[in-house]
Amino acid sequence: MRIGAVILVLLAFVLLSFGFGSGEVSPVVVLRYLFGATELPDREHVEMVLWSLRLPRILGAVLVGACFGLAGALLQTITRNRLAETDLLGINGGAALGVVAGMAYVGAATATEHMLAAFVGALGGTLAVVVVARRGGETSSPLRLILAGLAIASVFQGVLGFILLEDQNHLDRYRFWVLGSLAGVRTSQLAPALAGAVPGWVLAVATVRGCAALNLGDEIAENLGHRPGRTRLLAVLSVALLTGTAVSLSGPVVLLGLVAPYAARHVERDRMGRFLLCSALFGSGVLVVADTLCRTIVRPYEAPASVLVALVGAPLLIHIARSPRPLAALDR
Amino acid sequence: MKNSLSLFIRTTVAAFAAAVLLFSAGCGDASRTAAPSVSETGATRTISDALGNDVTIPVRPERVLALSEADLDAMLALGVTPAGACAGRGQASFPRYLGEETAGMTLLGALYRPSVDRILQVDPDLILAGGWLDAGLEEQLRRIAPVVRTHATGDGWRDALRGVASALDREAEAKAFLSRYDGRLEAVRAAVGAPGELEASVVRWNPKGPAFMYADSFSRGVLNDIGFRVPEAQQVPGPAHSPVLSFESLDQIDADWLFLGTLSGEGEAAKTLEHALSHPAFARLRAATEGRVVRVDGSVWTSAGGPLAALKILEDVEEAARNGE
Amino acid sequence: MSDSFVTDPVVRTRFCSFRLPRRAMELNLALMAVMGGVLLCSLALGETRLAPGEVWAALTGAGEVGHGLLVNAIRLPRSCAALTAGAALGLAGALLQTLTRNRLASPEVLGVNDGGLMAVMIVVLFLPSASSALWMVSAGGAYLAFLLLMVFSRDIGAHGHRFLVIGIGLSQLLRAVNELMLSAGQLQHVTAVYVWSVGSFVGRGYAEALPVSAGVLFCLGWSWRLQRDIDLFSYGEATAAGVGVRTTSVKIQTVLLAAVSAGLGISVGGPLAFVALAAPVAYARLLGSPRLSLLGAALCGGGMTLTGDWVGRILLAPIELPAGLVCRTLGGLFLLWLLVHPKGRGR
Repeated sequence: MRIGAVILVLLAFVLLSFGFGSGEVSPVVVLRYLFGATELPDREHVEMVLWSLRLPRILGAVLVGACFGLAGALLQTITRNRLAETDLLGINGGAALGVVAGMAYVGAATATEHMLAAFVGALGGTLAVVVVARRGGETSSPLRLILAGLAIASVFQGVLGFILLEDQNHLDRYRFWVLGSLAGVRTSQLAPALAGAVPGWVLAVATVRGCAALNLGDEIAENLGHRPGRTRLLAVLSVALLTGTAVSLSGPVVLLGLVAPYAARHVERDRMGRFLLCSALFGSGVLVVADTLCRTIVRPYEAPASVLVALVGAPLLIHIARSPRPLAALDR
Repeated sequence: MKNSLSLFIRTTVAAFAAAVLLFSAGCGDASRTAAPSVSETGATRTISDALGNDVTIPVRPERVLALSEADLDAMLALGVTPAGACAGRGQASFPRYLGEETAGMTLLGALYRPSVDRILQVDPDLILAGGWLDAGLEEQLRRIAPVVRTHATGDGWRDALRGVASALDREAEAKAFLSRYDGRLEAVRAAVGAPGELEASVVRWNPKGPAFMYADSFSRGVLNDIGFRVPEAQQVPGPAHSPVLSFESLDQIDADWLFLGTLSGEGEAAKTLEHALSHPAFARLRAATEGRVVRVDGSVWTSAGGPLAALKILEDVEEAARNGE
Repeated sequence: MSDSFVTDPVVRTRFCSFRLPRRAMELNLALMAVMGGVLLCSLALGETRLAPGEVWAALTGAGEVGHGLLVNAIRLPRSCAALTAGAALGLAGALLQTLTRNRLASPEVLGVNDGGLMAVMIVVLFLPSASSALWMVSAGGAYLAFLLLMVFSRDIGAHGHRFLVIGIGLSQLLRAVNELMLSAGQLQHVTAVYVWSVGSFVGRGYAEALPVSAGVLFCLGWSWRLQRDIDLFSYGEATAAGVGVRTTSVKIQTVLLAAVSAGLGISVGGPLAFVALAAPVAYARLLGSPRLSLLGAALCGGGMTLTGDWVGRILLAPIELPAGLVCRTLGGLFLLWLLVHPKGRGR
């Protein structure tokens, strides 16, 4: 079972990730702690690092990665466009604008408030993209969607720049946040994030059969008894929930929603449910690895995770686009 | 299609003609530009600025512009109010810590991007521009008024003060300020106790992680004057702040006194401090348990600085010392 | 396809013959008039408002000294710089879009802006003495990005999809490297880079405008020679090859011209997002035909940037909004409007 292998690999990454970090808590120390070595110097520090710092981060990485991977896969399915991704379509931009506007004008401060603001922003972005793209009619080309997304992302970024010009506090906080990082994720933020992500997952599951039918084309799907419009709406809501949650927790992570579905397609192309699951798993795996690297490559500092994902994901993207087989699939 | 094209042409030309007519009608005699007086009142002298350029400046300048934060600060410290200055970094108006002293000044625009229009309106006879200045902008400014580069990028506040004093011929006031500063230093040292035995950190707090100020930064310089020691992990040369530190390595910012700079206003700053103190890694720091954590205004402590900002830092330290007792 | 080209006049001389695209030429003239109007507005309106008569007096040297300084030494050079930057970007976008028959192919999507920024950062961080030649450096970074793109993609692919995806990947990669350098760099140097990267024309003048406009004219001239061949590409590459077009040579030349143009465009005031993407699209919509006039796209681009710079100056005076910010927002809104009102022709 290929999915089983993917799950095992993900678990392995997660476990390995516990061992690495930017302080002196090395894998050896972690192993000694776990196996109950009693003469461990500074046991409290190790405990704090493992349970208060690394655990929430790793769980956060799994959650955020799964959200982005799933959102990317859903978007690609409902738009029938291999280039659809939350960043390219301006949804990340909408979520970011939501968070910054929330911080600046409504005084959103807690994790839940940030998530709400991000969700509203992501929803706005998604709806705007879908509305604009559909104005071209059913036969709108995939290009139209990307153009719409680019336009909307630009507008969001412009408004964002405008807000940030006014207040340095927001600019400073934003400048690191926009790089997308899981640093500073605390256990208290995980519960609201789950509360936001779970409805997104549930909605995604509800659309699985509809999405599978969408692949055949809208007319055939209708003849088979599905309702493409409703499927798309549910999928859009799911994407907004997932993106909003993920962005509010870690900031926008680019390319994850593009890379995860590509990789998942190599493992599981045909069955929609498994494809979505694979995409989520790959997203988690990539982000866990990236986060682990973030903590270790520039000790004692933190590198931004999104940057590392891009450093891994961009060459992967280039490589995939260069190979002749997917090329035919690109030209729909 | 052809009709819509010519329609477009006609409409646009008409729209622009209308706009131009409207504006010209509206501002016929209300033109706000004053013709600048071309140096009739003559007395000038030549000085050599911080970058080695020879500049001819008026002996008694009346409308002086300060383009960088350090210049503005230094001018106010010398008792001269500039005719105009740029906004604080990222702020919508003048740096907050200068307070009422900036009343009556014209705002020239954002830092590093002043509005040349407005500069022309103010009609300066001297422009003080230390630190970083765009080369094209400098050329344009030189055609309006003499430009003195009072200090180079990375210079300390004392150099800025010296440069401004030499341009304004206020060396005596500069000396007076420096001795006032030294006097305050003594008072602060007394209030702190034995600063030579204490380590101090200056940290910018961010929910993603803190960043400490490098060894050559402005606030570190003032703390060094007081006598505080730099923790070993922070002895990194440089004028700015470090990248974001991982929470697992938080011991790098540990010290006897921890100055936490936040950039937010009063309400949010308290929340930030609370947020920081509640972090499990933070709670284990020596500064949090036995030492002292002081919340300070980031716009003063983590900026490029100036003479008045240095005084403000001394004030903050003295107040923290007294509160601790 | 435009239906007017059947009725366009054709000029035949002993050595060559060419078609005069009448409607495009009319539109170009209209655009030039509009640009003249915007230029006049940008000279007249700002913090200080001048009447048209005063502007004319200042230009001819007859007005007050203050006005003369304002118009001739400050506003006019800056507006010229903005114009040439926009023209270069519009041209680059039009070349790429025509070659790949893909509205999305534009230099900033392909990583040119990020390449330019990376070159600037490398120079500022490691060779601070060369900081005065920033504009040349950024152009070099832009060409390098294009070179990498051509090396990675080997070919454009049908509708440029492969080109585009690889370009997106490359731009993300460069952006990631830039972010790393930015977060690790010393703040003093980072200021200069940040101010440049935001895309602003403060302090820009003839020193940048003259070489860039020379470059734009050169590129326009060369691409005019290629125009016929590029037009044939719109029938498909195989058809064009069958008719005798040397497709590889044309492709390489076009991409090279686009790279030169884009590099020049971003070297004036920093990377400007969206102009290269939106200007050709806007022009095509106005013309009502997907077949672009490169001169027209350049004019459109110049007009957009000039408007962006001017609006940025007057909106929140004295705080100037960087032209890059304004272009990004207005350009996005404009493109949205275009997308929402489909006209059936021209994608």
